[in-house]
Amino acid sequence: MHISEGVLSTPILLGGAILTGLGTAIGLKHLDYDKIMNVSILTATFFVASLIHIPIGPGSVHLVLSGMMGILLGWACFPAILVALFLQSIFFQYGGLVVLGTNTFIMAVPAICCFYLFKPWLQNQGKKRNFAAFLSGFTAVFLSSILMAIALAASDQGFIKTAQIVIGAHIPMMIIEGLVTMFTISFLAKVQPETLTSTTP
Amino acid sequence: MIGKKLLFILMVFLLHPTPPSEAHRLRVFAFENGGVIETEAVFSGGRPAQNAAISIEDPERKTVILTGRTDTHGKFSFPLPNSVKENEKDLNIVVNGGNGHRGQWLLQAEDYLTGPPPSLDTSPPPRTVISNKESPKPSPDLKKIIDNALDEKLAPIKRMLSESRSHKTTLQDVLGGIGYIIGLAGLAAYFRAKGVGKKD
Repeated sequence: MHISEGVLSTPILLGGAILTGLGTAIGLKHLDYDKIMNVSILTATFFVASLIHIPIGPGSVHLVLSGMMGILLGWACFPAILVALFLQSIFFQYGGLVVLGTNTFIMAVPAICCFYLFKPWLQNQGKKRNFAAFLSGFTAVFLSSILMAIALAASDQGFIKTAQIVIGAHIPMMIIEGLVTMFTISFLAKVQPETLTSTTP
Repeated sequence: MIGKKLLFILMVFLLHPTPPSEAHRLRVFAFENGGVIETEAVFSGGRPAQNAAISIEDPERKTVILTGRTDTHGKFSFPLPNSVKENEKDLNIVVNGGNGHRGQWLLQAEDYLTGPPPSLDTSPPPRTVISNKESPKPSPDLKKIIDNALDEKLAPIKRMLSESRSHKTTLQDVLGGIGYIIGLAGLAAYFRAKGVGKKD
């Protein structure tokens, strides 16, 4: 999910940086400062999530949790993901600083799409809510793969081929993200249901 | 309220099967072994970068010296070109693992200039002058045997040294990042509280 430094072309990097700047500004406006502790705990979770490796066949897949960030934080996920990715690039050398804007855009925009698509369903109980949570995790990674393919293709190879490879490679991740999001949401529904019903966009 | 969220984070940590030393990026490192530069590229999670495009570049002039592909172990070796050795140039080793993964390693001249000296003209210490009178300088064959033996023994050590220089994620990194996040939240809350206070 994290694109490394020196892979993307300058227009893509600039575009990503500007759009992320806009998104972060909107996110900060929508940030409910009374809930700042929730936001920071989710940011910390996203920050360490990439360290968690789940062995799949020959290789392994790491968690991203962008879907979960989106449905729980709404627009505030933009600054949250920006901060987490920035710290990941400093401390873990994932991604990079020049590519930070584009990486944030690739992860945060699908998160916000999932917010608008699936948040209303979280108010329900039981299977509908779990299914919505699963779809949120799944779709966030799916949309991120598409954005990643666009960014890579615009810098390098043809789009269809890149998209096939990138999306295909991320399918196990989509499923795992969906499952993790589903279990998390059902856990939160039991212990702290007010996080699911808050309507801050 | 915060207690339950922390419990969740602890759950997340407990799911963590591997120690926090692997990360999702492409780590590249290289070392010299008997006139050959050996490179290795590994993804986070320990998986070697198989069949990845590797390019050896001159960092000053940004020209490509040679290209190749890593093998199934993520390794790629090439003999150190004489032109590079004579000019004592640094080498930038760039690996492209596909899917936006790219890693690089700067092999500095002093790292590979540990090869055997071109000729044995270093003056021997005074004590061995006597033995020098009795026997000539070590024969080229003997020198070669010694060099090969040394290369063989030193190669794993050089690999360990080079690998340890490439940054691995540690617990300190994790705690540092989390600290910054909580600090930012605290700052935000502080300034917010100040603003609210002033209104009253």
